[in-house]
Amino acid sequence: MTASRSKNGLRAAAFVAAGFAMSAAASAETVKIGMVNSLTGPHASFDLPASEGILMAFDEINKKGGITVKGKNYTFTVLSEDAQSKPELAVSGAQKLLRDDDIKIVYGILTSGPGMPAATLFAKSDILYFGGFTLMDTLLGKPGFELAFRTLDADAVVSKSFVPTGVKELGIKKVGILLPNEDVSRAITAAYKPLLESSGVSVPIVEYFQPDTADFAPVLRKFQNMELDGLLTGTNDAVVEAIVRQSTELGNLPKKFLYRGGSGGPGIKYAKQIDGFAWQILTRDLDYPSDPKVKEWIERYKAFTKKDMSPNTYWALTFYDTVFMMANAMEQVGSVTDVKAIAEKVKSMRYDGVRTMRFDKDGRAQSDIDIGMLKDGKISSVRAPFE
Amino acid sequence: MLLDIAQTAVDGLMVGGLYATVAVGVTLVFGIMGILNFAHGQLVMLGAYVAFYSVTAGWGFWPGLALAALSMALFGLILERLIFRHTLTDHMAGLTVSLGIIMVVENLASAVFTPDPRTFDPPLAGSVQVAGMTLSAQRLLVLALVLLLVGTFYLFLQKTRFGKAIRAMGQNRTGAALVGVQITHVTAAVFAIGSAMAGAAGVLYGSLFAITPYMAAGPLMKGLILTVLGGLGSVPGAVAAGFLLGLAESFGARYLSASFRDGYGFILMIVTLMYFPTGLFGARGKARV
Amino acid sequence: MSPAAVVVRILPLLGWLLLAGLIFVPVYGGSRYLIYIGTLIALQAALATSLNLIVGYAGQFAMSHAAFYGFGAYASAILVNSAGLSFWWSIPAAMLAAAAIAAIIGYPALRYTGGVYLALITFAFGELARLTAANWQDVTGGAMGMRVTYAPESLFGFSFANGRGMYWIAIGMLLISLAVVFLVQRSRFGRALIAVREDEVLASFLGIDVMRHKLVAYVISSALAAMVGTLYAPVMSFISPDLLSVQQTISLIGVVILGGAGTLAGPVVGTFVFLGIPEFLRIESLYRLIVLGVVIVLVVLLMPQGVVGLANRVLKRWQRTAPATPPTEAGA
Repeated sequence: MTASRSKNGLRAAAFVAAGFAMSAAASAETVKIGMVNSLTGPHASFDLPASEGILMAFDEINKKGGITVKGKNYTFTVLSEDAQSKPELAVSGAQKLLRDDDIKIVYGILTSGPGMPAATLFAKSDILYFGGFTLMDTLLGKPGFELAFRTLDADAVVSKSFVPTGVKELGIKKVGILLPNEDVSRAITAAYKPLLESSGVSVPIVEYFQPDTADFAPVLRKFQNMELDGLLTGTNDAVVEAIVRQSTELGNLPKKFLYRGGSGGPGIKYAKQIDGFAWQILTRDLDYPSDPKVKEWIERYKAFTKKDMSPNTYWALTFYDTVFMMANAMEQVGSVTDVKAIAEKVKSMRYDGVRTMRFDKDGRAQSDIDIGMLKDGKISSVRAPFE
Repeated sequence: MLLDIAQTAVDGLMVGGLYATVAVGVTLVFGIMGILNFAHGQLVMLGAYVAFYSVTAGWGFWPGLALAALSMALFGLILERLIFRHTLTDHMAGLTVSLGIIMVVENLASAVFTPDPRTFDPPLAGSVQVAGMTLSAQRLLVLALVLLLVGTFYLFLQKTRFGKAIRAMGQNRTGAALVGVQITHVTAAVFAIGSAMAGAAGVLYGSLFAITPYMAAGPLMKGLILTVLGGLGSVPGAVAAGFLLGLAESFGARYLSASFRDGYGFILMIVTLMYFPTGLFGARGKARV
Repeated sequence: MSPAAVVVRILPLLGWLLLAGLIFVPVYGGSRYLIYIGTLIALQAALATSLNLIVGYAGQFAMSHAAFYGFGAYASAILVNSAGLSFWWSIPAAMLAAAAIAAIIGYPALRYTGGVYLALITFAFGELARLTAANWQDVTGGAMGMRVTYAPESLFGFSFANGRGMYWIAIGMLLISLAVVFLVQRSRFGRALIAVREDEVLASFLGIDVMRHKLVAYVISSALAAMVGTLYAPVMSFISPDLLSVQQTISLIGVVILGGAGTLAGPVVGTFVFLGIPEFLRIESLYRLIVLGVVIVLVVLLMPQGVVGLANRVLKRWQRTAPATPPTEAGA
């Protein structure tokens, strides 16, 4: 709705203003943090909650009095730019932030289209950048990207826990892979296929469909008559829902699904017609939380944003814990401007927040995830540790 | 193997029928008014949303179908009266203005409906066994409805007086006026009927697949391809081409690469235009210069 | 001079003022942000200007413009990355390839009267190009797109590898596009194009080879689009198949019509209005497109010659009725 979208924009603006006011009142020095996100456009469903999580984290730090570095007290203000889901505007938003020489740290962007050029720009400008988009994995570890971090696990990491758990819980022996022909699909196959095979599952067929396909009948027919009992598919709810629905309509197709992607929605909707559905929650399961830390965070989120939970709210945990890690690193290193030292420190820390966060030497996240499970009509989630 | 081919063929016919329903509206308007209305796809999208809100409001699918057709007929009429009427003499202006309409309708819809995909429950669910093939029940219903729609319309064109007036106008505008055809009435009616069919196609589309405000591009492109393949202005041509395209896509995606699906249609269109410039069935020639 | 006349006289000059502003402000304004925005506007204006050649002057609807833009980006990126070609040489190479493709598509598409065939074939070609880019993994990186790490090499001792350098290249490309259109406008070729736009059959009766003229206009405009595309790659450092989508072309056509098809300054003015105003007024992109759509409809119905074109027309009429004023060349 238009109303809520502009309300979101207003809310975001209000938070930024509140941040400003808070830091001004504290008569402490302020550290400026930059944030680029697609607050509008199709990518907003990921980036908007992520931006809320960032603002929430900084707000909590400021409320506790900020950080103390070398005897001086600092609070944070966040300056936000809207990428509008477009690469050109992500870059111009980034350029706007970089006009201010005080901004040396930037958070944001969960989608690869806007993310790639923005991340490249940040690397060239020696900015400490925390991003979330999938293709960032191809940039990390390359020369020039020592100050870049991705705060979500790569497919290579997620699959290591998702595959064995999913295969065991659903009892799958023969799987087909069906993915949209998108930027990350081949990386997904490269990560999942060997893991499936080493879990004792055979993968006789891998197919890619055109991303805006609505009619899946022709491509689904390729999966018939192979005695497959499972389907690994993705990468967003709308597509997977169509695939599940049309599989049940066509018949002769596997009834157990491994979903590389976000929510249990697609499976739960057709729960009566399928035999099992497992999905990945890259941050935390907010729908069926048993973890007290998660429950408390949900309450704080609602109080901060004055919004209720939505299926996309779990993205708000993308950067949340990392903000605290950065703040701790600043205190330990004794500087708010030496980004190289701060980055090194973050890479050496382990942080037990709402998520358990660690980064490897290239800036890749190594955190635990939740795996959602729909089995025998019951919904539950399993926490999958990193090791 | 044979079974597989048969099933793929049925899939193709079903999808092709949907495309054909959209194409009929496009080709009719072009044949009568010489305007290539790119905004036709928006009517499909709006029709789908009308049905969506109708079903979720509890009024049901069939009332939703009727409502969509009627409301789109009205909308098409408004567009014709307000806008396209003024571009009759300048075909490029008609095309341009339809581009403007696309921008307005699509983005307004996105603002009002939100870009999230929606689905509504179709009247039929599950699959049926027919001659050893497992077919989706709702898809069969759509195929039946499409044939009904298009068939009825064809009979209307051939047998009724008004239908003959339309065909007369398509052949020769001035001549038709000379023999007493009310040009303005017929033009308005053509727009309304084409829009109604687009709206109905949208409802059928929405009963099978998810709808978004940006969904118009797909049916529109297919509609344009069919209009060309079938011969601009030829209704039977558009229908036949529709089934042909559906089959080509279905078999291409099934036996070749599924990620190139739309490409098959475009290749078909380009090749046809090069060797059959008047379309596969069109008798309407275009002056060569 | 009456106030209305003053306003009308100024409008065509507006385009030139904006152009001058585009060239000089970022240089003296200095910030990277302004330079980046300036580069974006210059690229878009160059695209709109080259599109104007086929849409505005020849009156043909080519829906493949964005596809050639993307083709230029991909072709030059591939040539630089795989064949080790220098960026500068990749520009003419990409342009030549684009011209060849445009000739191949244009020939069957332009044979017939009525712009519909061209519109449809170029539409199909554009989408086909996008799908090819998205599927040809080995060459284009497929849906993942291509990372571009090179920058233009130094030339004549000037460094072009930074934002400022690439900004100058963008301005250069805009000036080249404008120059091409300017020369065409003044030439016999250009006048023949306008005759074709007005009435193809009549033009052929007058002895004009309509087919050849349309084809040449299409080839030139597509080659120019490819030229602009080659710069996009190093500026954005990342190209993806979405660059070739028909949506981009539709926006471009809107911009050209808004500013005034068939005028020199029109596309520049249109680009500023479309890109510049929302940037400075912070309007959400959704509403910007809605407004653009409404404006297109209004312009087509009420002002078929666009903003600048309307100004030209009124100016000419004013000149004709004005007494004792020495005749001047019409404005841009």
